[in-house]
Formats: sequence, C-alpha cells, structure tokens
Amino acid sequence: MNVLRFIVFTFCCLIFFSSASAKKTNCSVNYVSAEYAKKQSSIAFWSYVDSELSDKKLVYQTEHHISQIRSSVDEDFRPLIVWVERSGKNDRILSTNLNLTGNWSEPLLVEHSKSELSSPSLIRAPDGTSYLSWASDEGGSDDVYLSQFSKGKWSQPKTVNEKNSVPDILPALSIERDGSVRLAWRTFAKPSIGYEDRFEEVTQALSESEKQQLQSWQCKYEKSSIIQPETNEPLFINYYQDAFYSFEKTRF
Amino acid sequence: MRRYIISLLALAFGCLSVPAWSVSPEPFHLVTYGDSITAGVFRTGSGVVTCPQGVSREPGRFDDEDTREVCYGNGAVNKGGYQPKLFSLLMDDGYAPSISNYGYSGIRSDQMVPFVLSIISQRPSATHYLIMAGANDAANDVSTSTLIANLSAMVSQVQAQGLTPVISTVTRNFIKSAFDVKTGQYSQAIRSYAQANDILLVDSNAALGPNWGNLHSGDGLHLNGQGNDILSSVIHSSLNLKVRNGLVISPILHLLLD
Repeated sequence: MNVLRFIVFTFCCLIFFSSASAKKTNCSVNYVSAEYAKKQSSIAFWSYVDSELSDKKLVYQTEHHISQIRSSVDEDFRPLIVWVERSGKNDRILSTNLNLTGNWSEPLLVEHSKSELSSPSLIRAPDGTSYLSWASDEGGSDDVYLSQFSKGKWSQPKTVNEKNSVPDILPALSIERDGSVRLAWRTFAKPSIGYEDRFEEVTQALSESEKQQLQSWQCKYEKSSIIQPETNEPLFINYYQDAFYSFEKTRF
Repeated sequence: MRRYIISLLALAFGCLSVPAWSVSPEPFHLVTYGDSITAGVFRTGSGVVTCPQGVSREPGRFDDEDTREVCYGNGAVNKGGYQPKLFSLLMDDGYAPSISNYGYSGIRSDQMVPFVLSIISQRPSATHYLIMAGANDAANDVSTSTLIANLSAMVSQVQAQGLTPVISTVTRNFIKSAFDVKTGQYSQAIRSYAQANDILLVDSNAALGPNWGNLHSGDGLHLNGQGNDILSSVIHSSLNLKVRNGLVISPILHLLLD
C-alpha cells in the first residue's frame, strides 16, 4: 500500500512540475509606451491576454531622451523592443527582449551615430528572424540601413540604398502575401518629381507547406474588444491584423 | 516771385499726393503652402475636425494610415485659419491682398516638393510664397537634414521663377513629447537655414511657443482663434512690406523717393 501511495504521489508531482515549467504561449496584444518625467525617460510594457490587461511593467529607464519605440517578438515569441535614444547630439538605437527568467535583458546596441537616426521599422519574419530598418544622415543626407536579430544578436548594419547625395527616407518593412519580407522607402529624384518609391526583397517567398505551417500561428483580434492601458503618451500597439499572417503568440 | 514759387510748390504737392480713396491699392498676392495648420484645421481634444469656411473637407490622402476627413485649401482665396486676419492687416496697410490657401492636412515636406511648380502656374500673379512644413514630418520621424533638404528644394523652385520665398519654423506639438522635441530641433535648423541663405523667416515657433497651451485647438497641434491671430501678425510683420495706408503716395513721388 505504501509503495502504491509513493508511486501515485511521484506521478502527481511529475505532472505538477512539468505543467508548471512549460512556458505558456498565448495570443497577446503587446503595448509599449514611452513615459517622461523630469530628467528621466522610461519604457513601459503591458500585455493583453485572454481579455486581461497586465500590470504595467518597467522595461528600461534612462536620463536620456527616448523616442521612436517599436515592438515585436523574437524567434522564441518573447517580446522584443527597439528604440532611439538621444544624448546630446549622439543617437543610439537600442533593443531589449524578455528573457527566459522573465526579466528584460540589458540593452543591446544596434547602431550609434553622431548624426540623427530616424524612422525605425521592426518586423519578425516567418523563420523567426527579426529585421530592423532605419534612416541615418551620418553621410550628410539620409540613407537606409538594415540589420537582423537572431539568437540574441544584431548583425552589422548594412546600407540598403545605392550611394548617393540625396535623402533616402521612411523605410518600412512588411510581410508580403507570399511570406517574404519586403523593405520599402522613398528616395529623392528631382524637384519636379519629388520622391520616388523603392523596394527591396529582404527574404525569399515561402513554399506552400511553409505557408500552411504559418497559418497555425494565427491570432485573430477584434479591435473593439481591446482595452488600452492608461498612459500619458501614445502607445505602440503590436499586433498584425492585415499582414499575410497575423500572430502575436507571446511567451512570458 | 516768392509767392509764385510757393504756389507752384503747393500745386505740385497737391498733384503728387492724393487721398487714399482716390488711388487703387496695390495688389499683393501671397501663396500660403503647407499642411493642416496652413489649411486652418481646428481639431478638438476628442478629435472633432472643423474646416474654416471656404476650405474643402475631404478624405485624407497624404497619410496611408489615416483616411479620415480632413481639410484642404485647394487654393481658396482669403480663407483659412490665419489667412482672413492677415488679409485685414494687409488691407489696413493699403494693399489689395489676395491670399491663396494651399494647405493640405497630413502632408509632409517630401510630399510637398513636387507640387510647387504646379501651384506657381495656378497663381501667376503671386509674388510671395509662404512655405510652412514640418508638423507631419515630426510625426513620421523624418530627420532634420531631410526637412531642410526638402525646404531648400521648394525655396529653389520659387526663386528660380523670380519669386520671393518665405519660410516658417514649426509650431509646437503637445500630442507627443517626442514630436514636440522634434519641432524644436526643426525650428532651430530652419532659423539657421534662413539666416545663411537670406530668406524671409516667420518664426511661428518662437511667437506661439511660450503660450502654446492656450493657443492650440485642444489637440495639442492645431491653432485656435487666438493662435491664428498671433500667427497672422507674425507673418504680417515678417513679410516686411512697405506700409501704404493714410496718404497714398502717387507713383511719381514714389519713384522720386525710391
């Protein structure tokens, strides 16, 4: 009898601990906002899962000015946040993500410049790689740059547009219907025309089987049911409704 | 002989100076080109948009993510937010003003560049072009150098036609702290650019900035009536036109005095 009780007890413990250690992957709408106080900027984060809005979580704090926050999820579906931080005349693009221990990582430097870094655009590709594009006028006029995030590291930024002396501005990353990642931006042509649109394919199209696999990741939202947290600054809301596949499975 | 000379002088003065009511005021045609602030949008804190009388209300077409109904000047004459008051001020100066409103809600400086020549051709009698851009650039994280490059492209087009460009700094933006910081950066650069290139400058940021909390329409971005009145006064003084009211000087004496 004692042996039987021991077996049952052990079995129950195994079930309990295995379920406790398994990380939940739920559909979530992630909200990110900058908050400003005297001589301090911070980044706040909320998640909205199963109709419940989480408490505000402090992601990062600095004495410098934070702006242009963008949010996505990394290859493990953990929240990934990118922002521009200005100190004097120096700009930096930094990132942080929520790690396995449930803490936000130390900020990673993506790019730094003595000029202006602007218009960041962040997206997660179907294979889990995150891509970030931005404009930098380090060369005298804006050029578009691209970097990718995988296994906790950002790649060396590379220039996307051809070398020129005109502004290349407003980069925007998107997922196409074939599952490929596309980068669009505007380049100055001439005064009578103004700017022209440019495009570059960042990744290849997906196969049919890969597309079908993606559809199982879809999360669907009704905008009207989403509750927005209170903040004194507008939010960056991270969910994809109109992309080829919409998802926001997030691990916490 | 002395009486004869005095009589001659009095007659000459009488001919050369005439009452204002008997001489046509000098026409002055100004084009105002910019975004929703130029159009004269009034938007409350809850987002209700009112367009000034005579300014069109249309679905937005300059922001892909926002197609709400907004205001477009489309060249409306003497209509808008600050334009009517500016019209009165110029009339008081003895001019016959015509102020064309080419304000387009949502438009950024890069989107403004290709329309300059088209507007010039629509208004062949306009001599001055007030270009006011940057509010939507701030909201779209456009860099300062790009804004200046776009302003420069527009200024060059105006100057190439022998016309006078006037540029403005960017009014404040309380919608988001980052936008407000951006308008300050833009304005600093615009001042430097105007000074370096000897271009007439309307420093709307400096004139409206200190009391911005009382001068916006409720949304932190657009102007209320008081704000538009101040802006019209700043523009009026920045145009640096000769005052022609009171005793209107006839063309002959004007020639002798110039």
